[in-house]
Amino acid sequence: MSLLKDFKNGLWNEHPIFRLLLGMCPLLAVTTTAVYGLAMGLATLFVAVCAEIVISLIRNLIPKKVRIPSFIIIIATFVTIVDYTMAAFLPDIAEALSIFIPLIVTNCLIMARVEAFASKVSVKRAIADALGQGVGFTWGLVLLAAVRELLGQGAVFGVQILGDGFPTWGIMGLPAGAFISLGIILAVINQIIRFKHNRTREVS
Amino acid sequence: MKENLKMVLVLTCITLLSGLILSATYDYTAPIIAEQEEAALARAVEKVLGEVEDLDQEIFDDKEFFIARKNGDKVVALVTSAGGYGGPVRVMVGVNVDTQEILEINVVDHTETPGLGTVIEEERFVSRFRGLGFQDSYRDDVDIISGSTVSCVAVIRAVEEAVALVRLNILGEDVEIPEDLTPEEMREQFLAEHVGDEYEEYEEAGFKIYEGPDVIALEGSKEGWGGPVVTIVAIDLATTELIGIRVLEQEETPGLGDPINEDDFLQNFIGQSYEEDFRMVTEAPEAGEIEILSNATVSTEAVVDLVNKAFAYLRDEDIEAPEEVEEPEVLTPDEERDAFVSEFVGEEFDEFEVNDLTVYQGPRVVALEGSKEGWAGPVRTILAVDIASTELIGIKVLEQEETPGPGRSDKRRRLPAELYRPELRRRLPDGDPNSGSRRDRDPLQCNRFNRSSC
Repeated sequence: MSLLKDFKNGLWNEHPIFRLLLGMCPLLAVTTTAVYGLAMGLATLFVAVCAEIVISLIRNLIPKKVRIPSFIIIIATFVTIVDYTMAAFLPDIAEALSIFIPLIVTNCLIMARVEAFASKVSVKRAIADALGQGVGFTWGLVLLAAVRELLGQGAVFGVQILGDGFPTWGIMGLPAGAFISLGIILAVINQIIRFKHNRTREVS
Repeated sequence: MKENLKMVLVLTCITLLSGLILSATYDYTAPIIAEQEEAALARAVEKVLGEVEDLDQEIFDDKEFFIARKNGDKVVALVTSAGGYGGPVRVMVGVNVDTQEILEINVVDHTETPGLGTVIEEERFVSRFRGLGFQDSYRDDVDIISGSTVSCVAVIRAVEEAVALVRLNILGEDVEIPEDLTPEEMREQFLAEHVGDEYEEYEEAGFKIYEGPDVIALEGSKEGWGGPVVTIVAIDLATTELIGIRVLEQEETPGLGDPINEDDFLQNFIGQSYEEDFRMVTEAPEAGEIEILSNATVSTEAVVDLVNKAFAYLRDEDIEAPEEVEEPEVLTPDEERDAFVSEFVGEEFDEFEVNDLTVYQGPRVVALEGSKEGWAGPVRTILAVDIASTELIGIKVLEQEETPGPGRSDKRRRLPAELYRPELRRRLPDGDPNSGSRRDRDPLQCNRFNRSSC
């Protein structure tokens, strides 16, 4: 039960993007198309899971003073594995994501979860948390990327949805489009949460 | 000690393991990545050359040439680059060496403005190069798209360089490669060519002067259209003639102002004696006259003015040294505060803090400094009050981050005395038991800083 709760935590209540506002840099930079968003999300998910497992396993061995460097080395190792693997097997996506794959190392999302969670709990809970956060990050990226791709190119996952009559919004492909869409999505989500909150209060 | 040892051990183990894992991953993926890169390159080459046979790579002038056969003709592709508006524009150019024509170009990499400069990627621009023969310049053959002049010119320059490289290295023709030298390299080349190895270097009248035994070179800068135009001239001291001129640095509009760089223009200066200035004319130049390049009036003037100034210097006339622009002195908030205090309070004062205010109390005037949250951050203000008259005699905003324009009216230094209103005065720090009931007394005569009259 508690494991399920750890997992679900990252999907909504402590959603890394929409609630904690972590990992904004890749979020804004690579979400031009849904495929890139998904690839970035999965890469982060993989690194988060591996890093949280390893760190949770050796959490009692690492002296407190060197825990941050240790964490960073471990995270960087997995990031580099992802980097090489993507360059080898998904070269087009790797090129599109370019510098943002190596930059997963500095993604606050992973560092924060590792420091605040994985280094303090059992492996099972760490896995549940990493999966939840990773999946949460992925759906957040895909949502934003899908909105931008739809309005910017009239397609989602490369499938043309809007007809030729739709004048595509060039701005959606630019960083400004990412900020605008993120702002609107955040506003909608905050509104949903406020609405739910008010209702539970009325009920009680 | 034991803990330190443990830290070292743990970190060593982690890095060691990490290194092992990474080297294994690298060994596994490196050949696959290399394959992918080759395939990507082959695709890029195919894009400009089409289906080819016997693709081979050769290196000339540090550039990779992809040489292949297509329908029996020898075809070559190579990547060149030229500075565009937002950074270098890299273009892969495919040419047919046997028929001496451009097959196709492909802009590989650029950072031009989306929506404007990006037209260089589009078919309507790229197609303009297709089928053109080998030439020195393509500026007359390829129309520039309005709004993207700089980006288009960058592509044209890259193509010119590619064609020149192919003619030089593959066909063995004797063509000059347009090369980008740094200003320093150009100066060195220029001095070696005209002045020789021995010269004295000094600065005078705004010129950098390189004085050799027979020839003197003067380097100066003059504002052009897009920024300073740095020109160097060499003058033969015996014949008084100008023997060499070169533009070392310029940021004029590519395609318009930058012909001032070209020999056709600079050639006109050669041979003139420094006894006589150049005149600028719009057409049919005679000796001692320079034709203003159309669309490049400002750039032309920059060069001609500088040459004339150098001539005037050599004739030993008084010339105005270039105005040195004095940078307005920027005071730090603390320096501004000190200046304010010494202006209003004088040199002697007590400094102490009351509540959130810093007080500088002099014999006749007291200054109070405080900070309050403004629109965008704290606004630090200092004001001076004459103790005897209780009037506000000076006020200054020391620090603020308000919106430029609306929030920044900090230019007022002296406010009219009526601004020192009673309600403002009541905000003066309170808490000194001696001044407890000061409101009962005459507010104009007695206050916190003027107890003698209480």
